[in-house]
Amino acid sequence: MRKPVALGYALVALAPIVWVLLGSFKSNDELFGSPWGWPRSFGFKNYENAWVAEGLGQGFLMSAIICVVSLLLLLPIGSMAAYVLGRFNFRFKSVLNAVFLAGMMFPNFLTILPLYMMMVGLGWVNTIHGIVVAYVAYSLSFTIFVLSGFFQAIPQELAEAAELDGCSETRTFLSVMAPIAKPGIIVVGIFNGIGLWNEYPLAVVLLTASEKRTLPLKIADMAMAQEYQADYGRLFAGLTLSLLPVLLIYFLLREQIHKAMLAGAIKG
Amino acid sequence: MRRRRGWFILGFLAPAALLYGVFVLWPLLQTLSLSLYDWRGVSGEKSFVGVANYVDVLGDSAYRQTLLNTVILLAILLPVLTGLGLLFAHALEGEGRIVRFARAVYLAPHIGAIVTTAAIWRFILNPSIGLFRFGPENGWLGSPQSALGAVSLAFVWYALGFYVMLYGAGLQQIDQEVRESAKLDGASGWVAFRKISWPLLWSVRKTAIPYVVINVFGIFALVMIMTLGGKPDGATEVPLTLLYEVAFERTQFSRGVTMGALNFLLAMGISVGLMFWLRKSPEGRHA
Repeated sequence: MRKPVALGYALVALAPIVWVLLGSFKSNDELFGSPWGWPRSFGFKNYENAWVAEGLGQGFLMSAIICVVSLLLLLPIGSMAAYVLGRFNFRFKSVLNAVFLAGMMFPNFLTILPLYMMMVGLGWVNTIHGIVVAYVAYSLSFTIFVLSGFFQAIPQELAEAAELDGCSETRTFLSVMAPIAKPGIIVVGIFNGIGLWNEYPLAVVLLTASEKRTLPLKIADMAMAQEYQADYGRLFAGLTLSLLPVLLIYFLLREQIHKAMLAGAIKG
Repeated sequence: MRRRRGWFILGFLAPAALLYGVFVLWPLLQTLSLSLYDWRGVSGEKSFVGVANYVDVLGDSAYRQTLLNTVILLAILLPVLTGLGLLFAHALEGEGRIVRFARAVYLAPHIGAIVTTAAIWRFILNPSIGLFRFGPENGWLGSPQSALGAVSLAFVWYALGFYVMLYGAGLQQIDQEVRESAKLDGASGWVAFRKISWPLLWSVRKTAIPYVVINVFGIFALVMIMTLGGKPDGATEVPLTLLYEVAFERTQFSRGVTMGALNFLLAMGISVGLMFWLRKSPEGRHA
């Protein structure tokens, strides 16, 4: 019984993705005529239309910039806080831990109105730094939670030895502890990167100008306007383009991503 | 030395605490407190009105419809995700080419964006280019009888892998010896599942159930895109899409924050309640 069930499940999980991939090579006639069929030819006309005419290229670039800048800020800031929370005992530590943890418990969208008003006040709506600051802030909970576990697992003796050798606290962190935690930091970075690449609710409110819209927003706009679309093939191509990078990373780094997801999920 | 350490801790915590405090915590507290005010947005004018906003929102039939839809979604998704999650986690255990292949691909839907899921299923269910061109006249997403079911189907496709993974990790923690000895005693397949996996995975279920509740109350993008924010006639409208509409299209800010606060209180209340209810395993109660 195990094998048929496993196979059936795998096929149901994959079939819609394969269908979109095949659809991305079909012409309008084929899409209307033979939904289950194989594409007649494998040209990239649909991709060109999606990339240029639908502006997905711009969205792709915007998403990439926002993702990279967010991670470059998030990982150092998150690691520093996680290190301190994982290694030292101090007053209010448990309160602080609980407060950071609380951020993983509610959907971001609940805070959207006051956050939006604040961004309007700062003049940060439709700016890259505005969305980056929001992304870093909203990713801290998960990052700190998972990384403080990593830092906790490093034997204290290593840090103490470095300090006996005359390293300052900062030096100990930079040259001894952070390098040991590097695998963890990379995993958390990948996981956050996927999450931010896919993010929708904050972006839909904070990035309304069309030239600032990220890939998920462009995809959403396309999908929502499909009734008025004369050319369906480019929609399938656009979806494929948005899926490709994350699926590629996922298949390359499956084990690590599982670990990060489990670490984030089992928070009690 | 001690004092230096104090400054070090403070310095390392400050950037994270500042960002988190200003952009996450403060808006959350504001959502809760502003729900008690009549608030006109940017101008900052506000007057205290007590629970009047709550009375207003709860009296709105559109909001009550979103709560009803959430209850229906929970009734569908809780058993499906926790049940199928465990079933498939079982199926994905062990060796063999097929099982290894399934283990490699089952999380693919969950790694893509929820936006992508919504778009894919919007196409699959589209009456002119989709895969199921029979059925209701206005399409599966266009008729009130089937739209919410169609949305939950897409949600299951997206979310199931996560629960399979959760249960899979739980299964691995069940002592190999327990399972080996069960095998020697002749318990296999369904019996092993019922006598060993089901009761021993209580702790996973305890995590999974509140998780489903929080995720269902958090549904937003899926409905925004699949049914354009709750069509037809609010049949698929959920609290957060109504919040978006009320706050950003109708600029009724007081109503918007109150819906946010209610969503937080309901999701927290229900999941904390469930955790309390599930805190003891059934075996523990007998013992």
